[in-house]
Amino acid sequence: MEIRDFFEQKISDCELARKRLQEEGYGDEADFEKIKANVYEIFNTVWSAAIKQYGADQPGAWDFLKEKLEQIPSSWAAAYERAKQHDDVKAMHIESIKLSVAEDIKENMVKTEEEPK
Amino acid sequence: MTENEAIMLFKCLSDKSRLHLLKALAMEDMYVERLAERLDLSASTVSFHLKKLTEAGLVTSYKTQYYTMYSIQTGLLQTSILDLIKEKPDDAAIQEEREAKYRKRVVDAFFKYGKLKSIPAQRKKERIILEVIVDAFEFDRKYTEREVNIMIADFYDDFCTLRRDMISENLLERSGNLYWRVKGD
Repeated sequence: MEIRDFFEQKISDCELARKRLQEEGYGDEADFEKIKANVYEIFNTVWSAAIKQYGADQPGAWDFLKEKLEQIPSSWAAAYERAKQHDDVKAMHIESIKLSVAEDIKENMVKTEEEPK
Repeated sequence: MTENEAIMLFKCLSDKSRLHLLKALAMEDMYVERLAERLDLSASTVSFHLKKLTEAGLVTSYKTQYYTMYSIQTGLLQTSILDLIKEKPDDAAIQEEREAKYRKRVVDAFFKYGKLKSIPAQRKKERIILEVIVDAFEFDRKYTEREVNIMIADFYDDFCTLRRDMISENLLERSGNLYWRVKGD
């Protein structure tokens, strides 16, 4: 699956899940889906910027995305640690959701790179 | 319970996962991983919800040798919704202060050197200026209409309008030619 399709699929999945959870009365879980969708949106935008700068399927674009996938979540990891120090379970959970999405994107990138062209 | 605490409680209860957690804890005290397993949620999500339940006073925790156990606080859940509604708002003092400031602004705007400049068009503002004027009247004393007119005229020439409005606002009462100040709540 192309990385662009991956992002769009994930954003769509999160939105569907958010609506379903909201309807079923899982308000906070619905918000968590929104957070996930936002993170996919961020990296979708990063990918758009990357292909604009380097061109689609160019190594530079992949490197740019990989760099941002290290750089951006590092602030979330720091926020998670700060929250942990203050025993702020709610903030920890939110940061962990963002970090898990970043991990999901990384895993998908590996798969995409390994796929035969 | 304050108004804000009541809102927090209602918000806390309006989530299915938290209701499921409470149901589980109503059966027995449990630790995070056990609750996560039972409700098919991540431990992190369970901790998130437990934090909210704890803040709302619905759940409490205690440490055992290996785990932090969570238990339901039945006391709060036995409170009736009617009791919560009847509670005096926690921000009553803030509200009173806000009212006092508003009142001062109105008085400053409509009085100059103790004289009323004009009768406010807004009923709320007029009520305030009438309350200021009625302070000139003693409780437990009957006044003739002439005395009332003279006293009001000290504040404003159109004493007839103000006198009538003081009656309609239930600040003065009248019987025949006699008037007296109404005692507040």
